Amino acid sequence: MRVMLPLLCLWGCATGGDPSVGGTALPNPGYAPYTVYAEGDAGLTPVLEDRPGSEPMAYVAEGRLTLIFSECPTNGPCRIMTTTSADGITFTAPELLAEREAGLTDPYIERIDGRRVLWAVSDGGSTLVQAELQAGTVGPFSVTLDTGPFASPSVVNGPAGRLLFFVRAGQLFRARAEGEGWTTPEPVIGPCATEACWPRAGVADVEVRGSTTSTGRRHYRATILDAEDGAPQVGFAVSADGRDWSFVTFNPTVDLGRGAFDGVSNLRFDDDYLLYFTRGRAMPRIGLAINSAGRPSVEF
Amino acid sequence: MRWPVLVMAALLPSGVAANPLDAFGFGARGVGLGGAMTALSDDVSANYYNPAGLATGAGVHLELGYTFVTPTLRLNEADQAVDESRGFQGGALLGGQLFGRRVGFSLGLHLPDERVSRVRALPERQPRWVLWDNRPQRIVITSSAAAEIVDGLTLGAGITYLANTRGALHLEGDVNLFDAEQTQLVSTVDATLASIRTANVGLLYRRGPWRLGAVWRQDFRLLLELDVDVTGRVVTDPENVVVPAGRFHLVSLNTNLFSPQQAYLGVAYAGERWRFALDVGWLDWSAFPSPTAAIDLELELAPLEFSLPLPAAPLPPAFHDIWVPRVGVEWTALPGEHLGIVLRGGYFFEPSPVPEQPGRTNYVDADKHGLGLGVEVRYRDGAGIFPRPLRWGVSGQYVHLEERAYRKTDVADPVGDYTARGQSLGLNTTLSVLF
Repeated sequence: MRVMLPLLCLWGCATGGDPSVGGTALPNPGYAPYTVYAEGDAGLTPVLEDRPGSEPMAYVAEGRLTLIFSECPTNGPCRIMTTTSADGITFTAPELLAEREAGLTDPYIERIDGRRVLWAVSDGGSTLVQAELQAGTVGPFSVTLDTGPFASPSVVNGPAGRLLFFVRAGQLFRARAEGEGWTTPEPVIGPCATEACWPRAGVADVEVRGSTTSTGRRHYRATILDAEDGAPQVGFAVSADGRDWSFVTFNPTVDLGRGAFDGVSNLRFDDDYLLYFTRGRAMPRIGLAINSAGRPSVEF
Repeated sequence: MRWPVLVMAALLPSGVAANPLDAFGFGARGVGLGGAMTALSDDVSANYYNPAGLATGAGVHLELGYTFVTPTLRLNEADQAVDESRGFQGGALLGGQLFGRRVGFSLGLHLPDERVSRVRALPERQPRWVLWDNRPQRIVITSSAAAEIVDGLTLGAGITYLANTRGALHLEGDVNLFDAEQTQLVSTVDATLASIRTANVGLLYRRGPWRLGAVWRQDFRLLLELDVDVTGRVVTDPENVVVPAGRFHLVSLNTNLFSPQQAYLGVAYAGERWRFALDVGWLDWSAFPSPTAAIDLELELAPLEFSLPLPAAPLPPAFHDIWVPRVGVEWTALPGEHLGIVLRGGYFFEPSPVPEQPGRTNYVDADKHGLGLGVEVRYRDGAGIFPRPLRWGVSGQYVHLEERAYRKTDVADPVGDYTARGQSLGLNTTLSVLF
């Protein structure tokens, strides 16, 4: 009996079983899959409900997601609005962030030395302007470049220095900060030549951000809306120097459906990647696509 | 009469792979000594560590135990929920003399209590702890025999059998393009578990307190071959044949489980109260085949023009061989006649055979440091029910996987860079009854 008790104990230990699967929470750099946010059976649900808005740019400040975007009232020049959210879906009532007599569109926030700088396109696209952003207040604007046309500006402090990107005529251009000015812009992404490549029709909108992988490597990361007419799609590219870009194998990875789209902005917010975009031209609305697969592995 | 039966039992085909034992060890003593058992094993665990050790004792030796290992393996600090490995371990050993020479026969068993085996073929791009997912999930039944061939020198050998899985599905008939209910296919299924043999051979030389052991374990790979063949006509109605002789043929070949050829050399000093052991092993991981399924597709639908793109062939994993050192020490702390206590400790270092993963594949592993600690209580029954002491051993094992950074050549790789690290905690207990 004294022998049987431990034997029974050992045998009893062996009768449990909890078949689990493994392989959860895999690394996710945020290229796919994205699901367009829609409430109920509605196709696409704008995050600002009926409020018109375009060219969104999202960033995180003090734990909240801040969304800035262009608003073009019928009786005045376009201006920059701001709103915040705790979850990336429900936003506070938009407030005016910046305005200028010559109009402001395509906002972008640059982070430099702990400061934030608001960049925007002005004068109908012919100038790039910038202003300091401190405690929600925008300082006076200065014209940085007046050799437009410009669209979708991004200014990134990355591994190859401070770079300016903007879109012109279906191409992404890059210039490097040099002294007080910028080098001559050069095209770095444009329409590709072969049948199977992407983006064949060139780019309609590009947002570039600095990114850091989980092993600490820093890159420039581009979220690209292609210029295909009727059903543009979104893909991604990454570069170590802002000049030579590597495209994600499965591009384009985000299908927004048919319609007119513009202004993409992609960021990591907590355990999700969020992709904001503009839908429609006459009455533009800001939509959202969410990637919640796996565990986010890139900071940007 | 019992000897021929045991000899036959030792040589009969039995069991499958020894992989859980490669990963976590066999028996409380082996775990406590960090696996440095090539020159020290003389119990049921010798089936795995060195079958030559079976011919060093006398009498009947029964063992019953349980092992439990829980890994925590992380990618980018996220636990991958890799399965625990747990199950019953035990067996029987019969030692004695035959024609004036020491002999031993034994049967060893590792029986997982969650699954007898697992097949999981993942996409090549998906990160996986390649040495931890399928490998420990396997039943092991091994039988061995050993004999003293000259004074002090024993030779042992074991044979295990494993099963390849081959399945074929054949469908034949008419496929109706417009009315699925009119589709008529007759199916036949042919599944085979074809056996393959693997062996291990060991030598043990004993002179005074010194032991010198060597063991060789054969490699094995289990294949999973699936064959789907669909033949017949494609019709729109029974009178209108679109494709008179169509065929779809898919063959998927997958290496379900691989264990490398390995050789261990061990030296030990077995004194009155102290025992020391040192092992060095070579593991032939460079022979590791891709665990990703190789798929071949054929589609014939003439006169219709259809084609299927073939998946890219799996890339060779290019693992490399590794050398594994193990050390162990055992101390009889209390050599009492009725109550004895033995303490054990051990360490091993197992470098990862997995190379950097700069491209399409994502095989994850890291260098491992293993620490074992154990205690054994020996109790002699005062009433004389058992002529020899009962032994109850408990050992714990901690394995630390060093942090490793995986960086991709393509900065836009769909998986991207990641870091890997982890640990595993194990507990093994064995009750030994000697007659």
